[in-house]
Amino acid sequence: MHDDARDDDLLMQQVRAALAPMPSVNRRAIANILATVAQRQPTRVQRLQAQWEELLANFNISTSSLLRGAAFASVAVVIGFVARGAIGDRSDNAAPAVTAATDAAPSDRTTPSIAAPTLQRVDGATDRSELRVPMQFVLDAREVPAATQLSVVGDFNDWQVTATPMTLGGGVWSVSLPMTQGRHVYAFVVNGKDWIADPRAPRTRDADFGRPSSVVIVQTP
Amino acid sequence: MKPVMIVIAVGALGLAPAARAQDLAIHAATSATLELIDDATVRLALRTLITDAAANGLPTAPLVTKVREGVAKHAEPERIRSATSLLAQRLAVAAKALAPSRSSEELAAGADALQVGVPSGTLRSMRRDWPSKPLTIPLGVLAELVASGVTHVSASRRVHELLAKGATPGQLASLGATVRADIAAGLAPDAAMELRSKGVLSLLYQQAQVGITTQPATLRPHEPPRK
Repeated sequence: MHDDARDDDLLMQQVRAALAPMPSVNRRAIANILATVAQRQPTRVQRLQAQWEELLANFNISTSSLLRGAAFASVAVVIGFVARGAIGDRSDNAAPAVTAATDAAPSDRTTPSIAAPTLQRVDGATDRSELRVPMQFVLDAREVPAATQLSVVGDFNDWQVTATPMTLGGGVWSVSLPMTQGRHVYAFVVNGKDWIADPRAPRTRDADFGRPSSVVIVQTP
Repeated sequence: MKPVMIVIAVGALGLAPAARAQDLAIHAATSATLELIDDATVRLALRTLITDAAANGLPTAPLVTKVREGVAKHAEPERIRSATSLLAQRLAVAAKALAPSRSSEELAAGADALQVGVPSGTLRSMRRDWPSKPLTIPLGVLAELVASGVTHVSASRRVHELLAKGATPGQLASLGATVRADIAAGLAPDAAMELRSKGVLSLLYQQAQVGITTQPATLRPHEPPRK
């Protein structure tokens, strides 16, 4: 008896709940929510991501694997050429090159019409040793009284006799030029033909060509 | 084939022209220099020599410079070929001993050291102990010391010791200059080397005592960085 009455009560409660009216809606709150969502625009990255996902979805459905491969290949070619340009620029910048605009042949060559273009060092890694420090070469004018022209020549200017002329002032021939660190062999050339070693620098044995040469060791600060 | 593989493969194809452009630059520089030599046979031999060096990953700039040196000094073509060939051999030995360095200056310094009689084992030892330290100055000083008459055993040992104690490139360069001055003043080369290197070691010891470090401790071989 008691059980039947309790079941009736539960049934009535469920019916009452189902038939009860919905709570009143706060229309102002809903309007606020919609306005907030509308103001919250997706970021650029989110938009791109969405577009990319949409593109991929279309792509997978509508294109064959061959076409997809061709598209990827095209992208890769573009990347490759861009990278090539970047590498080319870097190697050009890194070139510790001899920057003389004109690179004339030795003055007493029999075929002076052959003008060698500027050499470019195109190899070797760039590291701290590429840094250049100014070095000054000086020679007392009294040691070369017959000199009307004097130049310094060495591995740092690719042994171009005319590339680094020295100037006479105060009784001293001098020139300054930037040099990379390391051991450099050099000599002075008097009047374009006579080679002399630097009397104030250690001489080196020129085992290869038998000309007087001097040595300087350049170090970066 | 996966798309990633396609990207890598085609990207590599895109990079190939860069290597080609570099080859052309090497070719142009080499050709211009070789044109200065009258002997066609020597020109061909030198071109082959330089091309082989490039193919073996050696820097070609020192070789081209050597050719130019010979031309500037009006050497006979055959002598230029011989000197360049010997330099290529030294560069190959230096590259092997100083691997993985690709620095043109460092390899040229190594070749200079080899030319004056420093054994390749010394170069290997220095690279092993200082794998990331530029050795251009130490090798240049070492070559100059040996060229000045110091035995390579004494010079190598002292330079190695000074590097291990943290000597700077400037101190090494000064050491070379003072040793040469002592030799010019009449001191025996090895005695000058011992005297001057002990002087630098004493200076380094004093600097260490007062807490002045001239080089990071990580440059010392087989020692972890000090905290």
